[in-house]
Amino acid sequence: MKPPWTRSRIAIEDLSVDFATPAGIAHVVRNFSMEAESGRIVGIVGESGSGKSTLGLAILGLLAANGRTRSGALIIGDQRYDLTRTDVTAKLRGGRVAMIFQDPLSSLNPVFSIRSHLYEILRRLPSAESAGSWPIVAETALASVGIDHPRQRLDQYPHELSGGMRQRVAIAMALLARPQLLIADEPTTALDVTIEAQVMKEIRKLRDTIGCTILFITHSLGLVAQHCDDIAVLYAGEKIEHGRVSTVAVVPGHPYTSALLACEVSIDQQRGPAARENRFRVIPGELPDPHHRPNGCIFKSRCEFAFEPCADIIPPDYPGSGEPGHKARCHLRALG
Amino acid sequence: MIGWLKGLIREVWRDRSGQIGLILVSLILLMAVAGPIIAADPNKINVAERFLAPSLVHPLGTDNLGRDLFARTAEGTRSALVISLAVVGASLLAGSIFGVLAGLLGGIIDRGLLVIFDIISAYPPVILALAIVALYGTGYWNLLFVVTILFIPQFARVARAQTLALRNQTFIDAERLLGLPLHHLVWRHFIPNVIGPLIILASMNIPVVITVEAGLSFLGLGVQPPAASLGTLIKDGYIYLNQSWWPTIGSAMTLALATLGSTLFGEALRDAADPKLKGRVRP
Amino acid sequence: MSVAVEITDAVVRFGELPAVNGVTFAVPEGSCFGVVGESGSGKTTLMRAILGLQRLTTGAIAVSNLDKNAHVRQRARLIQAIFQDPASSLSPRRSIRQSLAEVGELLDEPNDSLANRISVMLRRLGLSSSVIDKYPYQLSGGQARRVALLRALLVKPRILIADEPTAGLDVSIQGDMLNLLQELRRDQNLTLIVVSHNLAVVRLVADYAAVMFRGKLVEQGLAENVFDAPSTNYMRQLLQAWPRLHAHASLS
Repeated sequence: MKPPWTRSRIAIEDLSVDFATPAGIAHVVRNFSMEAESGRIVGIVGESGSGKSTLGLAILGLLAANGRTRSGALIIGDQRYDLTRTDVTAKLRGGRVAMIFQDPLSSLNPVFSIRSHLYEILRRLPSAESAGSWPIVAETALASVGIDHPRQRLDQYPHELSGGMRQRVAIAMALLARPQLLIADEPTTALDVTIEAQVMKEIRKLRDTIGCTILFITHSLGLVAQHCDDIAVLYAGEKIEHGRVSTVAVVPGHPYTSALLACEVSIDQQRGPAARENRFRVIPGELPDPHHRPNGCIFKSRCEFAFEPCADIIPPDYPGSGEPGHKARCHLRALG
Repeated sequence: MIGWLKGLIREVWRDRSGQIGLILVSLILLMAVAGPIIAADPNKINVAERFLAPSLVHPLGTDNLGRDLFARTAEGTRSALVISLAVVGASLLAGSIFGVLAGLLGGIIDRGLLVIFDIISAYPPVILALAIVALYGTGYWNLLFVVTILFIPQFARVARAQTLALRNQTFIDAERLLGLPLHHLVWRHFIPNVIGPLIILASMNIPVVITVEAGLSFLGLGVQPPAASLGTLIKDGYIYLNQSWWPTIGSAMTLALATLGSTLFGEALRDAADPKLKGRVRP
Repeated sequence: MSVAVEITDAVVRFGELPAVNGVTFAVPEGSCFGVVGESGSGKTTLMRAILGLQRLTTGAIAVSNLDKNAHVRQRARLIQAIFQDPASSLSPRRSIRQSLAEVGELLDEPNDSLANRISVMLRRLGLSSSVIDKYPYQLSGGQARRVALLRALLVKPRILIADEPTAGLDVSIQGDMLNLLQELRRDQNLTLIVVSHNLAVVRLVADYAAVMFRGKLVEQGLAENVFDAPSTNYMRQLLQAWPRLHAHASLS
């Protein structure tokens, strides 16, 4: 299956999202910008409060009632989409942008069969495959994501499938929809690790087949290191580092990124002889209040390297290392 | 518990309809409590003074027998409140015990109780009341007993649902791990968590009982003369409507305001207790 | 070496389905024992059986020198647990003070002695004394976690079971909980049983481990053997599938 469009760059420009809470306005995502070549898998990494999920939901206009996209644009090739407008985001959904969610049970409609879900996609496609070919197309799609007995599965309902299979169905739906941008929000967090590995393989295959750019939102650095091409690190609503995974994982440009890498417990880490002596890294301190952004660098209160400029000057995108495209928002990088 | 209730009342006050409900309920309570103290004797007959218009001496006028309407309305309100609180209280107590038992014990006991609840819920209240009267005569206590039974299933079902939800909560495991006896578990952990929704339900049922009691008394099946009930007052006034509308006005208005006030209050209480309603964020 | 928990041919059947299907192992006193498995492996059911919250269909679980027919309270004083979602493990309508007072009842301890121990533990766990008068819903996730741990430790148990101690915790703060558990092991010679699906963490904290799959034990022994030199294909596959930081995908 060849993609019908020419490979095009994806860019997000100045995306900011606010939420109205009893305590005031919380600025959950602040001025997020990034760009990626077509067909790249970009890992969006962050912990709680980083705004990573909000990012994905804002692009598709799926924010909760008290959320508002204050600014932001999505650029696909030479087309520009204003993300503050709900009519624009509504048109993006299921068209040029698709999404895979963490809990496939709630993203698949329990009263519709798998067949109905897949046909729904085919029905909305501009390039009309004739309805007569739908059964074959649907069956092929299921088979291509590794679902066994695809013909029988078509007539099953979501609750009859395991979590891993439901995610595969979601991927099959994306395969049929052929979006230019796929947002995967923690798609494997609820799955066992062996199933996770299989689903990640299917996601990579999807990218290889239809050439879409994938925003892979996760808290797991290990998954990003293993499956993504690029990485963007979010902290408290801001992007603090961006670059190729191979570069950032080895020469992180931001203290938060290096601390995060150090905290991640690796399966092949060195074990001390006595288990009870093993200690674990922590990043001390707390997230800043999303209602009142402190001055200067967002990470300064928890950074062991903070110095004078960090207090009041927001770091711009400095070069993170020699690698072009590697950016880090840390004043240390200005020192060369 | 008290803190929770106080917090709820504060929430109710924030909402416009809750404010109205709270004010009306307070006024009704005031009338019921203060009435007998400041008003005249509700049973004092003075045929010379029948159908008087409202005045300082008789704030709501007098009825066909010259009895002070304010005093009679106050007495009727008091009896309406006492009956509704008693009925709701008793059915809440019985309902929560049956509901918690059904939830905790499960199996055949649970299913048996559910069937009984279904049977009770299927009866239309007024028809049942007529049947009771036909069989046992117009006893005040018979009626109260029947109305109580009619309200038990609602409370029992809510209590049962809460119990089932609680059984699987982690904190029940954690409490069992402390090795304390079963009755501790039930009284300290199940009941307090079950009571909340039941109190809300009770407050929403009070206006219903008030109306049911007034209706049955209007039909002559409830409170018997010379005792005053809002229902009997309305009936008495209704007969003499072409001679004077004072007897009807006072009691009908009071019944309407009591029902409206307790309904608004009950609904506002329910909304205040539900963290998901109206997008309110739980503190 | 004495044994803290001894499990012999434990079977737990729910209707037709065996959730735990003949498990045998022993937890040495003072050690950290990891029980790992994926969802549906039966590790949670086994954990509840060890705690006495779930009856065994057949088989036996012996805890320390506890008699088979010992009173629930004796068991409660010996073995405690911290659960996966700490906020929901505290009774919602009771203040922290009330929840902690129940420990005093279990231990038959006078109020002032209990209060003293509580303030010492609050300091130890980095909690301010103001949490005592709060209700669970008023605590942050981290605070609730530490309060649940405080209550479990207040009982002075010899054995502590930690059910998914790092689940839901950001990577940058899970170390806090783990370091705390390690400290407790060193100071009090506590026997720690960690039930988790997080292989990487259990590998570092456990002395011994047992791997469960569909109710059965597929691997057990010293942690370094189970994790670094597994004997079953299942375990090898599991380890192989675990995401690794430094084996990134090739660029497209």
